[in-house]
Amino acid sequence: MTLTNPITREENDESWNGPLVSFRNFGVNFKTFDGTLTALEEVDIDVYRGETVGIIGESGCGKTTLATSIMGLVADNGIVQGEVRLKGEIVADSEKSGVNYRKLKRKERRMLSEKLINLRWKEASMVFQGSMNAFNPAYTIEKQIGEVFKIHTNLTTGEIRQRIIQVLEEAGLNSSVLKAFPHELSGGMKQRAVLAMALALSPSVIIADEPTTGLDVVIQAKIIHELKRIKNESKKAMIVVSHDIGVVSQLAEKVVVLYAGRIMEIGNTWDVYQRPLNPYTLALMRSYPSLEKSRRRMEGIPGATPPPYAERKGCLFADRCEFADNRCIEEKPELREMDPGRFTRCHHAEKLKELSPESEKEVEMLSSPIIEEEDVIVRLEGVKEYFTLRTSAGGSLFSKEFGSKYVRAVDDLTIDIRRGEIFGVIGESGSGKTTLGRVIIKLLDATSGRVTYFHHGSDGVQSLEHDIHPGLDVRKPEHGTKRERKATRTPSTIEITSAKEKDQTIRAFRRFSQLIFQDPYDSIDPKMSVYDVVNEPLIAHRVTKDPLESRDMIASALSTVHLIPPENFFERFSHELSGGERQRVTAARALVLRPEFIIMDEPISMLDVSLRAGFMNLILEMRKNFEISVLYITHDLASARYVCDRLLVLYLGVGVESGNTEDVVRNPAHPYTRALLNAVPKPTPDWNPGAVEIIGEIGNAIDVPKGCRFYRRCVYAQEVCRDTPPPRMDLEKNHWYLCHFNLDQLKKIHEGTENRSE
Amino acid sequence: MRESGTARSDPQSEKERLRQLRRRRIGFQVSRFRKTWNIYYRNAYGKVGFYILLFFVVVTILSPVLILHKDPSSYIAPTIDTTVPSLLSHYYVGNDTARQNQISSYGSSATVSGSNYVYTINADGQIKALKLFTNSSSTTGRVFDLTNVSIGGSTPISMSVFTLVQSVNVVTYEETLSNYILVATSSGIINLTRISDVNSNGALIAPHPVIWQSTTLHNSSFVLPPISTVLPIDQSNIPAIPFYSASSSLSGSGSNVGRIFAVTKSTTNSSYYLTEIMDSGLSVAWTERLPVSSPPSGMQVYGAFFAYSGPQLVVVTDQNSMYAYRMNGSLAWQNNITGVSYTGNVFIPQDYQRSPRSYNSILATANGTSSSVLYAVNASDGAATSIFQSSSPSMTAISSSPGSTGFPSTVAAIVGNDIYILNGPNHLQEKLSLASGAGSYGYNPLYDPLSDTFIISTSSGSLYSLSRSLGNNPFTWGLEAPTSLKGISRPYLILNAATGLEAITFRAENGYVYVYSGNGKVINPIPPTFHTPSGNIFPLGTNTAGNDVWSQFIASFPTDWLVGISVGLIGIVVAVIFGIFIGYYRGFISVVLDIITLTVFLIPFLALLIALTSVIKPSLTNVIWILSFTGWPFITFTILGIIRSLKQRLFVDAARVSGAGTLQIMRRHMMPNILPLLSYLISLSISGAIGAIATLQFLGLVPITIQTWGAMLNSLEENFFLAATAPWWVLPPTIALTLFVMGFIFVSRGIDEVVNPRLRSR
Repeated sequence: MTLTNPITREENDESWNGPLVSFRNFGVNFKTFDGTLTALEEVDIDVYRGETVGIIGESGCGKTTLATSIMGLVADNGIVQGEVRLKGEIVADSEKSGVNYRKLKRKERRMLSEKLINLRWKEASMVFQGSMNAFNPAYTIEKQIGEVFKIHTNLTTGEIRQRIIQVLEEAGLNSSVLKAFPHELSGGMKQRAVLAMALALSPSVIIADEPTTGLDVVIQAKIIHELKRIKNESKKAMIVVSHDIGVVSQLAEKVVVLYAGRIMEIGNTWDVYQRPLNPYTLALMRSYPSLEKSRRRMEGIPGATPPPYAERKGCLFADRCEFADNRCIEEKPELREMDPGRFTRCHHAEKLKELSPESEKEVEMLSSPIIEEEDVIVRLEGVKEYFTLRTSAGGSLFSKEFGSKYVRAVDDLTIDIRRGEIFGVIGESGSGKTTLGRVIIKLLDATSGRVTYFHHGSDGVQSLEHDIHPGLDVRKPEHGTKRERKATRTPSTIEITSAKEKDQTIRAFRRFSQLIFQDPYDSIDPKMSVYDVVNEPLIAHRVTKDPLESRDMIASALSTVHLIPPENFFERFSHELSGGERQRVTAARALVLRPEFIIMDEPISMLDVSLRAGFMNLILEMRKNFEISVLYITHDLASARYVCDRLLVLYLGVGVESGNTEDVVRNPAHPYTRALLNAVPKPTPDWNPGAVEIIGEIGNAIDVPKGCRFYRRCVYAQEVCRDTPPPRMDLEKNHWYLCHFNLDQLKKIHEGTENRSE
Repeated sequence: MRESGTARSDPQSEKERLRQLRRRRIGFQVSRFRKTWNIYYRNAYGKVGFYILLFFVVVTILSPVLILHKDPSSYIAPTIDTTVPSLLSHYYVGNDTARQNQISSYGSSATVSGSNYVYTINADGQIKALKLFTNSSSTTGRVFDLTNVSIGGSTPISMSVFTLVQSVNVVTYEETLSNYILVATSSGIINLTRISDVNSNGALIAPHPVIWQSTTLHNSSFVLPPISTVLPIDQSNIPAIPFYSASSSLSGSGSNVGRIFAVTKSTTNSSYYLTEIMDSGLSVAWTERLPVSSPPSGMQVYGAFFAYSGPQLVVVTDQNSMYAYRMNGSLAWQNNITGVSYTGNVFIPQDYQRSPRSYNSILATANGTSSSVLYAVNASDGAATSIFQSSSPSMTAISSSPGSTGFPSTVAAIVGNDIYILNGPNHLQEKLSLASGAGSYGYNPLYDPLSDTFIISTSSGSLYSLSRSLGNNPFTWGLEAPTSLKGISRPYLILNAATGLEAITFRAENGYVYVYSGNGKVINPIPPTFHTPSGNIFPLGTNTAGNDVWSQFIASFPTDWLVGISVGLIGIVVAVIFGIFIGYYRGFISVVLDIITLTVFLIPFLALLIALTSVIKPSLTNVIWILSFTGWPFITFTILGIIRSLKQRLFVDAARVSGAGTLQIMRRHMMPNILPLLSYLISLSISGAIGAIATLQFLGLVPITIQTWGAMLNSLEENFFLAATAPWWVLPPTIALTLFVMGFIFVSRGIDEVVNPRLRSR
């Protein structure tokens, strides 16, 4: 318990041979308003020097609680069992943490907090989830990182400055950011600055809680690269917490799979990935979309994580597990060592030994339906969407006339979306994907260009009427005829861009089209029950006045999205639903009118890993059953490959490559596409995040280069690219890219740069 | 969907399903409300706030019942409750049981000194003189032991004091007056003595008996107190004329004491006799046997003030008859009444004592088993006329003001607790009621000619002054007897000849003689009381204006609710319209509305209120409008912000994509999402409005006739000491205002818990 001075600590640093971090039968329960919630239970982990442990699991499985308890941070409503030791010192145990902290005497508390302050940052530092957005906006990076030194060391200002530069370089930044304010840095730089801060006092243990979440795929690759380098250069122990199997697989040698607060499996990373010995790990692997296995059917994990306040009896995964039997429901499985270093918590681990993590089922539904090339449902011709930037008070007054700047969110885009296809739009954040979707659905008016919607069939809405309600006879003929009369006026081609919101054509269009948003938490009115949410389009279009009829339609829409039985969901509110259920409700709302065309704006990016596969399968199912066309917007190539028939790669508002999905993924032509594909972390040892050939990060769409949009980040860039807009290069049927060079030329340039760099 | 389509074909089951659907929706709404309510109720603030407001609502609903006086801002408590005579002094004269005639009258022994004497006798015959109102402060209120009547084992049964002019200065015509005391004892002895407080040189000295006379009526006992022709002891009024008699036989006296009459019972034959005793030497003039079998109930001398010898009579009543004897002992007349019997209360209005007229009558009460009658008996022939009947058999006291015509201008008769004021035979002018429990009204009211009031007294010592002019507020003052008095003797009016002020004096059983001023003093604000002379209760007392604070307090509940809710609702409605419009739409009109809101918002609130209230006539309606006008901008800005942020929410976009029009978005998305906020804002705005109107009324900008708590506190602004001197008036509205505002703040905290669940405590 005696405090060590810094010098002896340095010596101890090398001499300590025990585990740096050790959990002994650790558990945390939280006392809340609604009851006691078990966050962690029976955790036994040791982390040694030079070792990196990955912790994976769905949201709510206790990952972050585990990580923060190493720092001695247990919320004061937590009841702690067991203990956590950091370099042999107890940082959390039942007597000193959580609720019992308050019961300590004042002197004991002060001693404890002094001890913890010395351990935090010096022995163990943490990169909190989203901490790159937690910088004080009024502090420069230097001041921000300098604070750590000021609090924990007695160094002089000059020494501190030197150390700051040193740690910034360690984290892959240079001293130019010292005087920068957080808002002046890009996301990747901020995340690196956070890393620098964590490295500041050269701790023995670095805890990274979701270090890449919220970053674009390219930056994610770079951060992974950085973390790998740090790990290799210093002999630190690292704990990486993530829900992303790819990230963990790249960083950790040992992986701990958590489920509902229990460790399900521990083992060597590659071993666990290739040969999971726990049904949960297996299911997780199967639901993880990756570029390698994307043409095989992915299977989501059915059901949801057990409610946190429920009784913890038997195996907690039992009700979602395909191997489960009565024993699993009754008897709690213990963590068993199957092979040396391989622990699993399952009664049926032996059965799993023979199984492959890949699903054997071919994706029968992945075979695309026959799509007629000329049967276009939405046509975009030269669509531009510029947002005016108002720079000053004068500018805001005279913005239309003088020197205003534009954000070129979508710049001169021409696409055909065919009837019945799933058309993917892919790109980093800031590339204009969402704006494109909003322009098509007319939530935004296009600056110029034309969006045309082709309605199926020559008989207008009238036929649609029957499409929507098969089996429903028109019960009120007066209304029916009225609507029919109106309907005859609906043209089968709808000019979306030129029409006014109140036009009959737009009202008709609203009926044929729908949008599913990225954020299911925000796209459902928190004050509305599921019934009301799904009822909304029915009310808006005055589909029926009969409450029974609308009820049936709502019920049918909910069952379509597998919210079964629908009656159980009618009276629930969005906060009572899981993320996946919420997104299903928005899908039900989109489907209730049986639209022809749905835009899905990153529908799975906010869902848990285990739920993504389920929703993607739902999209495919919806397309198959209702013959709808989908514009699928995503930044995730793997999921795009899984669901899309054709892809458009968007970069700063410009489509840089397009083609059939398989063509684009297998033979990417544009340098940007190639970089994107390389940046996706793959759970294989040979993936090298350092090899992503792209410079910097996506800029803004205000000061775009005159020539090629990708000029500034392109490793192939030549003189010609700067001022001359690149031509369209056609490769094969439907596959084109925007570049000055054909594939051979690109190859040559690539070899040249390789040589140069060597 | 197809399956459900087939199920629908049966119309019966369809109806059933429809009903089920509706029931389910209603049940859902109820359970949803219940859930929200539980969250609200679990919050301590919410719970407390709810109960506070519930209390206010209950009081408001019950206010028509609870309120004691309608229109409390103009109701003023009757003067009988709020005006009291001031206690001038009280002196200890010896512990003794108070008897009717124990204290006797007044007397001004010497006009030079202006002294007034009050004489009292104790059971052992000790007579004490209390000297009052002398100009020299050294002798003010001094008690003198006067003399001890040697009664030898008997007790004094009556004492009467009368005043005669002793001598007249031939040069200045200044009169020297002397008091005479007549005492009768139970053993048949009559004593008469003159009291003087001047010595032979005319200097003022302590009062002392000058001449002592005594006689014994053998074998007799007094049935009624002996009376003198000069001043019948029942004639409590101040004589306005001196009593001259042509033949003064009393030595040392300038005027004649006259004759003394006594009704005795013989111890030998148990008959009743009327005896006249001459004042000179106290010799018996004649004795007449009364034709009665039971003890006579009352005796009175008629014509006491006749300046010249006239048809003076002595009147004696027994149960059904009244006998009148002349001064020579012969029976003048006798009458009989049937059904009722004389109570012995014989009262002769003062004017009838002065000059013999044909209409002179003697008032006498008679009670039956179930009724009582007031008779006027003609003094010349004895004809008894009923001038007032009451269905209650307990007419206890009568009195009258002077009257020189056929009927005294006003006759007051007390039956039980009711006072009947007659202005003619059988002509009831007014019936008044006094609070019960103040003792019995056995003493005839005193008539005070100076203030033209009747002073009514009870046996327990309460005094009330009844103005003969009546009106809405007939009582000019009232005095509730403190219980320490235990009981009092008959009160007397005394007049200070020098100052012209009158006073009321009586002896109480606690051994003190009390002297009260004859005119009342307003004592508003009076403290909370449940027992007042008028029978009103004032649970929170009165204020300085004499308004009933309780009624004002209760009447403020509905008014404050009205102001609060109307201002709250008007403000909210305007703010919602403006807020939604400015928040949702962009454009010129929106900007203009925004600027208008901002302008109103930036005008200093109080200054605007002051300016507006001075321009617009501040009636209740106008005040509501003014407060609403100043209240809405703040709410507008709050709503506006919420609307703007809601507009950015994806579910609004989702609704637009679904084809919802603006109205549908407003109704289904905007309103439900701002509704909890609205209830929060309403509660704040209601409490704000009540605070504002209280401020305005406190400052006097809004007339206090609009009955609110603020109006009640208005006077506090002029005199902050009221908070200490009249807490019953200041505290209730202060507490109510605080609680009311706090209740709403607590409720808004509770709503906050529902609206912002993130703030919910773990």
